[in-house]
Amino acid sequence: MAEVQYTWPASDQARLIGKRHQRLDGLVKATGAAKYTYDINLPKQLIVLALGCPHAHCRITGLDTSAALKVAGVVHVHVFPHAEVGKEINWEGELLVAVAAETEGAAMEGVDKLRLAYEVLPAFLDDENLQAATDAKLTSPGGGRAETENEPGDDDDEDEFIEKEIERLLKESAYVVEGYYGADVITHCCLEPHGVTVAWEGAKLKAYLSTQNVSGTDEGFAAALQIGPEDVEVICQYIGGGFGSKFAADYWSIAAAQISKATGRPVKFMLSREQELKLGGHRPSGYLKVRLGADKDGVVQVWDSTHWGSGGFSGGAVSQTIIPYVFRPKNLRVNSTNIRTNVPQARAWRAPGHPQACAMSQTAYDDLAAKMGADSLEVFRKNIPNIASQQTPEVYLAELEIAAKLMDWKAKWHPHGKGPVNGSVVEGLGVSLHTWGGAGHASNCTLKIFPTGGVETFCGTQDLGTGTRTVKRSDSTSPTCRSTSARRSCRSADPRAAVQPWAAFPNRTVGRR
Amino acid sequence: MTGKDPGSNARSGVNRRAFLKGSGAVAAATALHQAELAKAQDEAAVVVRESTTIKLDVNGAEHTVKVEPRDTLLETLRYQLDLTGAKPVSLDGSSGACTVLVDGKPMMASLLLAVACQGKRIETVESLGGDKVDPVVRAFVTHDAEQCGFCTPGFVVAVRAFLNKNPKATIDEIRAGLNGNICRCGTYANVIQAAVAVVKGDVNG
Repeated sequence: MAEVQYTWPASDQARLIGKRHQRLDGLVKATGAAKYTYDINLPKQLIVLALGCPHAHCRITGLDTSAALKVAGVVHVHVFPHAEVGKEINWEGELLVAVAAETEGAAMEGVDKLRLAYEVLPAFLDDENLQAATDAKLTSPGGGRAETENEPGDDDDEDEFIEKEIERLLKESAYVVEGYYGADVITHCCLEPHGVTVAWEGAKLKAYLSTQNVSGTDEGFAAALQIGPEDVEVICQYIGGGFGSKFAADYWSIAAAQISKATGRPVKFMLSREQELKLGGHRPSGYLKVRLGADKDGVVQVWDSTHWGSGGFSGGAVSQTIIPYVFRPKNLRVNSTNIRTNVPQARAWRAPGHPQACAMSQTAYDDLAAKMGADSLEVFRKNIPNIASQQTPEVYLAELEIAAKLMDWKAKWHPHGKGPVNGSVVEGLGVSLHTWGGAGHASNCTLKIFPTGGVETFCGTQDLGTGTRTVKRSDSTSPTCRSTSARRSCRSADPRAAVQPWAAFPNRTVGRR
Repeated sequence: MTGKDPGSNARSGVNRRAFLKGSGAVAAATALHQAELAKAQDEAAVVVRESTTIKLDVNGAEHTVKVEPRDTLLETLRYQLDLTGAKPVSLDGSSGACTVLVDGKPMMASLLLAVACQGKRIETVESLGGDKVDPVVRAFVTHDAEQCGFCTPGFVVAVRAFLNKNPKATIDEIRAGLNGNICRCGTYANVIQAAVAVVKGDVNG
């Protein structure tokens, strides 16, 4: 097959890029015709609901499913392996027993009839309380680093030298800000909960999974069910939110496949809203105490912080490598601590750790502006020469200029605390800088051109609402089929077609290369 | 059965009785009264499972469905009629994603029992598509008022209902009128733009 070279046109000659397009799937979404995982109804399907653990930490001491099995309409009861008698449960909401029934009502009644007994164990949930976590021995070092312009001498103790340098620089600063900032855990809260509708076709599993990762979850099913990945077809044409939380097959979806196998019927297993909030993913917390020193112009000369937080049962605070965020003063000391709590492990959330790092550290820069009585934007501009980012200072400055113009920053800015007050609502204005490691990359899709002029494209990424489907159709059809009026369709999440598939990670949205 | 906390399923997240108590059905009762009421309900609770065949007027057509007394309109629409536009985001109706029109009024399908909808005119989001697409739908598409789209059908029906009643609504009235719907992706600004476009009769603009 001859290789065709294509060169992107100049911006002023582009027909697609930079132009306004209607979302390809807008109509089906707005009329309810788009079929999400939750909407897939298969003939004779069973509905599965599950009992979630009512305790943050406990041991299962008794389990009786007999009454649930007697409920009219209940077909099958599945005890999760981690919930057998004697097992320890480490967070509230963990699914313990699933009930498969003919209807939601029967499944709900079946869950209500389950009888479990628990030995309640001590739990730790106060991730903001570093002292309490330390006392409970639930902390672990998260790492740290120190950098100073002046180097310690050969005979100096490095820690002592750093301590003295930090104190000296703070003392010599024109402005010192001491602050405590934090961002609590927040949940992904996908409006379509995690879940699956599954059916076996002989030895092959068809899984309508609500996932950002059609290209990788087949292996999750295969490993758990002891079949080959080629025997699993994962389908997700539409997804009701993922936000980084829907990359795995997840144990409840594996259970759905097992229940389907055991009953010989298709199965729908979606988390309830409450379970979605407890199990469906959350972002780690972050709390930071800082002393910041700046010169008379507002350029930060020294940063000294300690921060902590929790990503759940396995710990995992915001990485010390991104504190302070984007800005990198010439003198700094950073220390971090991980806290383990009785909640599920955190899941990826758009640039993991970065939003918290931004909120915790750049608010201190904003407070510096407040202390100086200065415009925050100006203070940020003055500190931009001292950054550590993939982006250059010149680009940040240009971006800030454009943003300030677009939002009319000059007209809207007011001294801190002097904004309009409307009842309990106080208006404010803020600025922050961001960075991330994502970039355009190679990916493949299958393009079919039919004799009638119709075009169909397939790829293994997911359109989370980002317009990937629309962009892909525009790009793939532009060189050869721009004048066709024949049918064009685009399947965004088809694992079979993707030779080099990519999950829909936030840093892997479509871009021009 | 052994252990210190037998039979505690009250926080499992799928207890319909708990949901009904929390939904406002007994909101006027005091906490003590609620506890007594719950106890009485527990003791007196009898699950009536017998299915009933009823007729529902959905999107202008009569449908015969077999429902239990506990089946909600949402379940019936989604599982029996395969009308899955109304979404089960929150069973307590707080998301607005399952909004349908019942005799022209916006209602949460998850809060209505199917048997109670007999003789009523039910319109789902699917009725706004088809051969003659409703201007609200067209405005949503034109103004890119959806991302993941899971909340979108609820918003579309809510906008249709609100503008039926307030065809000349201002932007502030629209904003207030749609406060029963939530969007996790954050499409609110574009939803408002779409509604304003419909008011102006400028659905393509």
